[in-house]
Amino acid sequence: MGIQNSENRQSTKKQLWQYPWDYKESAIISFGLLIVGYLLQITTRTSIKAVGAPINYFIGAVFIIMLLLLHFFYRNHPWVKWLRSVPASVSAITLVLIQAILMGTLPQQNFVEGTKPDLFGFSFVLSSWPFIIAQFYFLTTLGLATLNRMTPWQWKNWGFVLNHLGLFIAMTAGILGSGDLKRYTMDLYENQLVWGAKTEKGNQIPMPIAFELKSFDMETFAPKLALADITTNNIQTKGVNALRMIEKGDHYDYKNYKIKILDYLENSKFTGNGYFQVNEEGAAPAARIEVKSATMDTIAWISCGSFATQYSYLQLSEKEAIVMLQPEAKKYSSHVNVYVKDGKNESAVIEVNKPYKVNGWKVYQLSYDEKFGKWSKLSVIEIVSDPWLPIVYCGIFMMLVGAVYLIFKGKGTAL
Amino acid sequence: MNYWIYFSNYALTALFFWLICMLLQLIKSTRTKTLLLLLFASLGALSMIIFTYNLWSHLGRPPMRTLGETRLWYAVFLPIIGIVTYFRWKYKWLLNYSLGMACIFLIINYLNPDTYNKALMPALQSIWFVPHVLVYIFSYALLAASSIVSCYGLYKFYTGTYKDTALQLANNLVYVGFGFLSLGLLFGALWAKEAWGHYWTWDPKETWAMLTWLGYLIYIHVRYRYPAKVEVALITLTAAFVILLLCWFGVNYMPSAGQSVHTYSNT
Repeated sequence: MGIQNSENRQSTKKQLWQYPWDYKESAIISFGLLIVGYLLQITTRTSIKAVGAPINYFIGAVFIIMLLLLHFFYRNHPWVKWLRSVPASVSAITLVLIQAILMGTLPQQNFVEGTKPDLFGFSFVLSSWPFIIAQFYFLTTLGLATLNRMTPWQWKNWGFVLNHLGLFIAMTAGILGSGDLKRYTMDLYENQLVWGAKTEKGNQIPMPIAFELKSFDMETFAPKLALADITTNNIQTKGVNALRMIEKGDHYDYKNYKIKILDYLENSKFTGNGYFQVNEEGAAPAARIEVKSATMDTIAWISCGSFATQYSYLQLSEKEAIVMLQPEAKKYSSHVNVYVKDGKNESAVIEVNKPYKVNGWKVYQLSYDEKFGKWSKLSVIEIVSDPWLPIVYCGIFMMLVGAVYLIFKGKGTAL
Repeated sequence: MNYWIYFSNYALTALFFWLICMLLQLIKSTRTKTLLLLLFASLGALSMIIFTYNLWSHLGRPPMRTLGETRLWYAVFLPIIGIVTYFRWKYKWLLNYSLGMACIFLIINYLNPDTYNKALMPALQSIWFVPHVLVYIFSYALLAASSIVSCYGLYKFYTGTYKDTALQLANNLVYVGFGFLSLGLLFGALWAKEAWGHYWTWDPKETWAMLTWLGYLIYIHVRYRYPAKVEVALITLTAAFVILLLCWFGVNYMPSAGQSVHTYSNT
């Protein structure tokens, strides 16, 4: 606190650009950087691609050496003093904030399909010049402020250093590492050995690891009953019982109807005049329900159907019907055999939230053929390699400890 | 069985106790009054804690998926924050504000009954789900409290009756709230790596969460540099809360929303 406060005396009227620089100068400089960013963007009209190894290592090394040189050889230069000051930090945070507002508000190409590129890079902020420059300025002020608190080392600064250095490490490694990040998908069909993966753009590339899908397994929740408008095909979602998960014996009221579930079959097929329990592919859930109201009293089978068996609903009036919705997935996983080029061979289960690790790759359960649901013969997996991850995690864990420090600091300040 | 049908009983109990707590303040001070205020505020909070606990065990999944369920958590956390700050620093108006906000959340829930849905998509079935959401809601509640302090401070400032204790209180709330906000963001990153393959994908909600974080980061730095410039600090803090509100309510409606994984479910 001491250093900052000594610079903080309410000085007599200071001329603009007279040292030490303060908020006004910082605001002008960051505004200048913003203009430069957009001029560069307009003239180059490109989206900047992340660079991979070894160029990103080189850029990282040059950046860190630059910060170290500035800190150790020009520590008292008024520009360096300014760069590590709070006004510079605030202006840098604001610059990133402006870019993030654009990114968070306007549709981005990597997120909303069909977004067209534009002159200023508003539709691809992430890889536009203004954002790159904002990040560079941000990391420079952050790096210099951190170095200033670290040398000479004082233990009382540990919370500051964890938060600032942690953010610096996580952000720098995250930006530089994006060039080495590989994310591919693989379409696995039952009992087929697959060596090739697809990039985000749909190009096929060979992989050093092959997968063979032995089986795709899915558990579902019980399906729900809902009231549908059959003229518009809309489901009514308002009200406590609007969507009711089916349970045999359950009875409830919705609007003017008294509904009772008499029977429920998890796996059934339609034959002749009703649904019957079966144990075969394409079986669909079905329920026998009783509906009573002032004008009706009826019992019927309804089902959401599947690719192999027909669906049925119960019409209540000219507009309304009770329908069964497709069951939602509870969990799904792929049993696979894994073959690695170096001769390793093992079987594994890949499940959502439980990625499988092999030879520096993380393998995720991504999707399946939704038309077939739990009978899908296709399982799509994602295979990811991010060599910079340990460095990013190192920064993240420093910030986690730093956050706990902040919580106790806030609590501890006496009033 | 749909446990939400018991909501009105618990909510009315809570509203009843909180109303008594607020009415008690109108009576001239007696020695035991502080204790009584704390007692009634806590009884109301307890009622909501019991309901949330029961709802959780009946659903068989954490009740953190729908907007109605998140409102329930605010009705639990806000009174707790109010009670603790009252116990520690004797800020009656902050206690009243947090109880009032909790009442509003309960009334909204009463008027828009939530559907009862046990389903939880596989990606949300993670050990990170509960800490990520709880830490976030708790931090939002704290930061909301700090913003009320700042608005109150601004009002006092413009009427010339400002005392520095307001910003000191806001500062404490912001530090604790910001700590939890950082935890929520980082837990989210660690979870995302396990569930979606990458720790940060610039999903619009993620971008706005980062914006919120940056907003409070600016406040902390501004306040740190010139502790004497009260007005600037108060305005920054109020502005930061506007970003938070946009992040919480606004993202679903923005052109950028696309297929965000963070849109709250209505069913």
